[in-house]
Amino acid sequence: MKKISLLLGLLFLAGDLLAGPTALEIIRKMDALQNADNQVIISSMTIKGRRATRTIESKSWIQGTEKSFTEYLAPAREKGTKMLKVGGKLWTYYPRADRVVNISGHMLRRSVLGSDMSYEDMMERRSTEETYNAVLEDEEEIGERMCYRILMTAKVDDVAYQKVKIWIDKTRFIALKQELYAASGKLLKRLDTLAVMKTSKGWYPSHMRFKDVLKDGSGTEFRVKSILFNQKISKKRFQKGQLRR
Amino acid sequence: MIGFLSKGLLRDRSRSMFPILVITIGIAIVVLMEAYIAGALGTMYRSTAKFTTGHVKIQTRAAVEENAIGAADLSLLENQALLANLEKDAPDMNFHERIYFGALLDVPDSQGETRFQSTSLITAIDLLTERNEINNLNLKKSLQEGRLPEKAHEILLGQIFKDNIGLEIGDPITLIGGDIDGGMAVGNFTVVGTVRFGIIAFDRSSLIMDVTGAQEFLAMPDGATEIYGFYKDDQYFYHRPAALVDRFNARYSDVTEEFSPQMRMLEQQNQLEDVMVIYTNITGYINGLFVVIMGIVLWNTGLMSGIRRYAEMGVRLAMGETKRHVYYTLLIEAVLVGIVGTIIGTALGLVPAYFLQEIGFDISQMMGGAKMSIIFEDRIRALITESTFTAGIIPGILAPLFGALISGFGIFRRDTSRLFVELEV
Repeated sequence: MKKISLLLGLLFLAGDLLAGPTALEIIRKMDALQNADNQVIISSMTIKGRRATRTIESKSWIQGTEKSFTEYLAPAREKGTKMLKVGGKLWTYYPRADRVVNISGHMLRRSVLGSDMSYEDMMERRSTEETYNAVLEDEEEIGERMCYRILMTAKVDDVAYQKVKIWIDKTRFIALKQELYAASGKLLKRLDTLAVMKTSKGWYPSHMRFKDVLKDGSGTEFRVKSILFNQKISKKRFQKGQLRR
Repeated sequence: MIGFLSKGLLRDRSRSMFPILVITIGIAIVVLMEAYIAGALGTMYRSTAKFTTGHVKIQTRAAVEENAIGAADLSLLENQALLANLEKDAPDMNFHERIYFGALLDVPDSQGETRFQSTSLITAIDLLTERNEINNLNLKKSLQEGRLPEKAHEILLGQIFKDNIGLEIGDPITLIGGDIDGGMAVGNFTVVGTVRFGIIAFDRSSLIMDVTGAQEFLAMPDGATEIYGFYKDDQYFYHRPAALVDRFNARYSDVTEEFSPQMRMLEQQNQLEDVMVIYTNITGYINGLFVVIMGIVLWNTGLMSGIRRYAEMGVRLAMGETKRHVYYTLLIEAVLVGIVGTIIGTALGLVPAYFLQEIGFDISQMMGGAKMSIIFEDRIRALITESTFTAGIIPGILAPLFGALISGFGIFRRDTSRLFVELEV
């Protein structure tokens, strides 16, 4: 009898091991790799418009998911523009007008500096687990990398995208592709990871293309030039007074 | 023979008086209607041209194709060279750059932080040069408070917009939008006056500034979303600029270059061609209806006249005049009656048409006393054109001829010998 019980126990354990991680576990692992207590990122954003291509360089200080401060470094027309997010509030400082403008309401749906990204895309501060139910649909190859394909459906109403399809690298646990849908099922935006880099925490997407499919142009490309995790960031950095400095 | 028949008509007034009276009244109505429709059409041309289409309008091919309004990234660039060439090519017209765009209006508090935000529609026109467009948009009449802008960074606000925001003349505002390359456009402006157009949508969210202020804001110093062309004589008629449009597009517009300029005349925009056709058809329908109604009236008159003139017809037939010739003279008489009626009717119709053209009919009270300027004019006016003088000719001659054709047909059904008996000749 003991032998039978032991055999059954081993069978269940083997079944669990063979079943692999659940969608939630995969998402948690991905979030853990990409989020940190604080980060300092220097990046560039290349926006391909109908008439011209612009590259905007910026430095961002990020604390958890609640606070971030971004200063635009180039080109000259955008230089000195600063953006502060604290919780659900967002302010932008425009040096040309010497004005601090509160970004709220319908303004959140507007494009950030003409890119394919909206302010709303920057504002989500809850974890994926808090806002979406995830279902592991299948496994698929994306650019020679095997990925988990996960369908996430919003469990709260106040998220920008009611449905998200995400392809997560099976070994590196970074998202290689995302499709963001409206409640109606219409595809709104697409995010492709074009290159990755190794950081002190693990793999991190270093080159991404964000495409608003409802907009002309070939999308906005983000390149991470450097990323430092768990840096000491002064509390003053996230105060409104910093915007005019 | 025409002289002989004319004398007959003059001496026997009972034969001509009633038909001429009927035609005169009918033609006077046709002439007045023609002038009124031309006036209404002219008002529509003027209002539409001044605000949305110009007599001609130039945009990039991409803006035309996408029916884009206020898309700065689809603007025309290097306009000064184009404007110089246009002035040579069309010396009877004036050309003006205009910029329409949308932006976020942000009102600062005393600390320079957001107090109020709203989306706004901006119309940028030439306000500061000698060839300004102040008259085109009737801005002086529409001005409610303050003054017109005198600098690039001064703006006018819609009166309702200003009241809703709670701004005062002299207050600063910030506009935030997208520049020609899609980058962030930000600028501070000062409110110097308010306007009321009489159109809620405009008065609630519109803002007017000089074109140079908008060019600086959108980072396109020699650019504009549109170039408007207006005839110096302010007169527009169907397809007037057709030759200019063909010439311009053959020279500048390149189907493979989405930012090359494309010129369109008024009726090629906003489906106005359909409206023009409807208006033209209405004139045709009125004339057609007149011919039919007057024809029936005159047919009846001809029949009555024929009965009264039985003796005369009998004598003429007895004297050897053929039925065909009698019928033929009746038709000539009808044409003569038609000509006289048309001349008198046209003259009579021109009198009220002239007053309607010069003085007009004030409808501002009907519109709640609102001060109107851009889209609607506050007076209905007629317009006397060449076609006002000629409008009555065809119906004025056709109607009596049609009546005589039918009523005179009875002559052929009369047997000559019976006619003698019937007529007691």
